[in-house]
Amino acid sequence: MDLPAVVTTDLRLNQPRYVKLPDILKAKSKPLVALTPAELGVALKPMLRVVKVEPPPQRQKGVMVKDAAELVAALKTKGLL
Amino acid sequence: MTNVLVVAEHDGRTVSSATARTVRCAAAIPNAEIAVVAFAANGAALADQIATLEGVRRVLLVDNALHAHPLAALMAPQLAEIATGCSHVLAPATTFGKDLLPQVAALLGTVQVSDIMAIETATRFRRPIYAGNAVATVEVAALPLVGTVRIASFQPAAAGASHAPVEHVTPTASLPTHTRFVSQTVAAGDRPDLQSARRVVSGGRGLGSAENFKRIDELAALLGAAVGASRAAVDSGFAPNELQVGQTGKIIAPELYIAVGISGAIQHLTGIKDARTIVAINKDAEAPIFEVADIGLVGDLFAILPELNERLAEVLR
Repeated sequence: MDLPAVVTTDLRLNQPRYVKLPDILKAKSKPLVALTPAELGVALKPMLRVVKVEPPPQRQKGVMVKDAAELVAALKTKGLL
Repeated sequence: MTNVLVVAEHDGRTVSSATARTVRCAAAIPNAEIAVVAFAANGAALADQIATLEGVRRVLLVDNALHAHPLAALMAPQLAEIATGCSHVLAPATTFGKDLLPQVAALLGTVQVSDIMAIETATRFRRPIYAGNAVATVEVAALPLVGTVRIASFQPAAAGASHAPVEHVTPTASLPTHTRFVSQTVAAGDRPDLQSARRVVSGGRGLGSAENFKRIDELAALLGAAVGASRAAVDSGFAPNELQVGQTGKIIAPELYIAVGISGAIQHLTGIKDARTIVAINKDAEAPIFEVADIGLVGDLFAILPELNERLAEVLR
């Protein structure tokens, strides 16, 4: 592809670098620039509103079997084999 | 009348069940008039398959040799053009849809609703948030909208009932040349596709090695099941990336899901909780997987699997 490009990466692309303590200290002295949407020429208008948030339906806890034979029998009973 | 446009996902020969599930979702929108668009090279046969899906009123075929290897960068501007006059543009929330639809939303200057799991009204949807730990109901302020559909939440639309008309469309949008197809590598395998399989057997860190992971393949072969893996198993190199089931992998809804040596981290459970029946085999009785399992078996998987294989072979013979 031609550049510039926006790229997303796979989870296991590489091992992230861990931040060293001196770098964390140094970060405190770095300038922090705050930009507003207006400065970037963007007018924000909310297009999506969250009406409500609920817990998802829970699965019922199932049965425990004690060995492979019982497991196969249980699967058979459920008509899964 | 609500004009809903569904984008078909296919491999050049067959339309994916994810597409049929997206059509089912589209049909839940009140007064939906559903058109399905397919980008393909020599796609007449594909269009015919789509035309028989229940609820489809029109099939729009964009037949172009360029689409032998579909690229989101090429499809997006054409899709934005075809979507003129539509209220909803939907695609499955698979790699395909997640790649394509954000570009379309940007081109249309509109909102995207991701991972739709239920339709309440034409502008109100339910979707999972926080790795499936909560369900949000969201309302969009205005149409059109672009949406990806959580395919595990919908059954596939029935095929074969009717035959909708197929129209050839030739968008005039100029196509970008910045992204070009180079090559494609498909993982070879004789197991069913993980995303659409009726049965799935997954292995986790409990297997201990890539060598031991082959036991999952044996069990899967016996059941005619697809093979999956937990993130821990993939991170440890026991199984390839594309087998990962869970929040950052595939979200699936098979009839039977067997988790072997998987503890059941919330990110994994998110990927499987729409499975009809979940079976868990794990040596730790306290593992969270047993909280969601319909059938649980506590024990050493290396002792259980050979016996399970033997007994299954007897029953299935």
